[in-house]
Amino acid sequence: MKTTISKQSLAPILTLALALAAGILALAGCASQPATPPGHAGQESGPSGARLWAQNCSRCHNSRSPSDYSGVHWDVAMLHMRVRANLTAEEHRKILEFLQSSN
Amino acid sequence: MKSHLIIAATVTGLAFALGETQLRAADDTEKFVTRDEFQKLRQENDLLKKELESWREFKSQFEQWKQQQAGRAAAGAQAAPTETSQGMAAQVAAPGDAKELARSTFPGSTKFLLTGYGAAGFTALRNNDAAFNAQFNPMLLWKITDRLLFEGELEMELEGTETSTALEVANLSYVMNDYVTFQAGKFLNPMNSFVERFHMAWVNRLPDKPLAVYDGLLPETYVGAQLRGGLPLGPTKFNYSGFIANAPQLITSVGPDDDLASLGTMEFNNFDNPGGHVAVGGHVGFQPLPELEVGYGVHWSGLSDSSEHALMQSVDLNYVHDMESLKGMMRLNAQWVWSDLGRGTYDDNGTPVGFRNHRNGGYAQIAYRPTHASWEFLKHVEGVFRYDLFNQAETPVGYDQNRYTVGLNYWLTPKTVFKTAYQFDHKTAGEPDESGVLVQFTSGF
Repeated sequence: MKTTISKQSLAPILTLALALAAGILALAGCASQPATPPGHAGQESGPSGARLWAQNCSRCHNSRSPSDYSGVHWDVAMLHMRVRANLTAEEHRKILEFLQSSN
Repeated sequence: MKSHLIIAATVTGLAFALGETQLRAADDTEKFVTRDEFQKLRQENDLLKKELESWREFKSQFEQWKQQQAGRAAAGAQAAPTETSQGMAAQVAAPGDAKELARSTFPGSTKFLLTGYGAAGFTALRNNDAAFNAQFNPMLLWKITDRLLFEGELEMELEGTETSTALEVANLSYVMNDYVTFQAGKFLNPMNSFVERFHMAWVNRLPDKPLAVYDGLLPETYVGAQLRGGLPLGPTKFNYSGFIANAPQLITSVGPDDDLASLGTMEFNNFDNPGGHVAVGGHVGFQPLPELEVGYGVHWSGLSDSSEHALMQSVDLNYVHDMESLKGMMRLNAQWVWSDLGRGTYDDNGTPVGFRNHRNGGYAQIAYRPTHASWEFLKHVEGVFRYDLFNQAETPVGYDQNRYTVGLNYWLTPKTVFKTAYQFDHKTAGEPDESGVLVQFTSGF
């Protein structure tokens, strides 16, 4: 089979690519806002770090004990889970503070 | 006699007088130096004078420096405590913080985390040879800055007579803002809920993985880039990912030594990406409740070695609830995937073969663990049931498959589990079934 793409078949790719590009540009606009680093609390509201830890971690796996890692290790692990589990900055910060204060 | 005595006394007196005179002469000679010796002594004296002057200068500078240091220390003590005194104050004020401070100084504990999992298993399935197996998946996480993370994972498995080692993931993530993260490299397939979240041996509730969704219709990883994140919306939450990556390769022909069943399937490890096709897609998840998430994923791409295109879709549902009424934790996971590669004509060792290259499959699984039981032993026991199926009868594989699997797990720790299961396997078109026992002992670290 030949590896050629007709104009017709390119249309969906281009549509999706354009949609993705538009999304990236829109989100890149948001990127001008600084990310909230852990440890810099904004207005305290919503569920606590302990509750968010129980809800988000156990969605996929058993929740690990806060004493399993040192505070430094939790810092690394939580940045990884922020990316993998699509956590928001607030969820990330609250869970990390809970883990570091409980270990 | 008298004259003899007088002569002897006179001789002795002369002898003493002569000896004293000679001794005095010798003493007088040592009181003087030669001109050469005088010059040498003078030079040495000059050198000593110069050395003494330089020492005096050094001493003066040292005294000045000491005074300056004493002045600075006095000013610093009044303005702000030094790092050392802050650390000491923290230790006195909060012993927990002191412990953390000490831990953070452990060698190798800064920014790096070595994690991952290992597993040992045994399978005894009908129409297969019983065999033990093992795997090791080390993962290195490196937090480079507060926004930048490197993730690398190897997968080492025993296959046939060899040990295979593969680069499972290797990517860099950059947190752009509170809701957007950019990631590039080799990453787990974000449109495949099972692969991204549940395939790890210590997370997966059964010893094996479900049909179709794993090692089946969807890629396990992509090489490309993606944007992802979570967006709160009142009490609910959305999460999303959008990616662009290398496209898969379509197997369009098989030779006499090849497996006919591979005709029309896709090779996802298409790292060279012949033809330069791209795959685009993503996943959107919605959490109406903290315990519930439903999601939809899509992949659209051209295919290397083909003019066909691949459209793959996935829907998933995940529900986890620790229920007091049931005295335990219940997990419900389900996913259904479709792969549509159109109707094509393929080459079976020189013979054209045409078929509709559509396949689908998925799984539903429920697990229950009585975490609130009064008997401690029961708290560690977990029962699992899974139904999975794979429909591909129209393709050269020529059969559909479904399985029922029941499992019983014992959790030694939150990341260590001993899993046992029995699987009932059914295939159409007279294909031999592979029912049997599966065992796995795994731990995350």
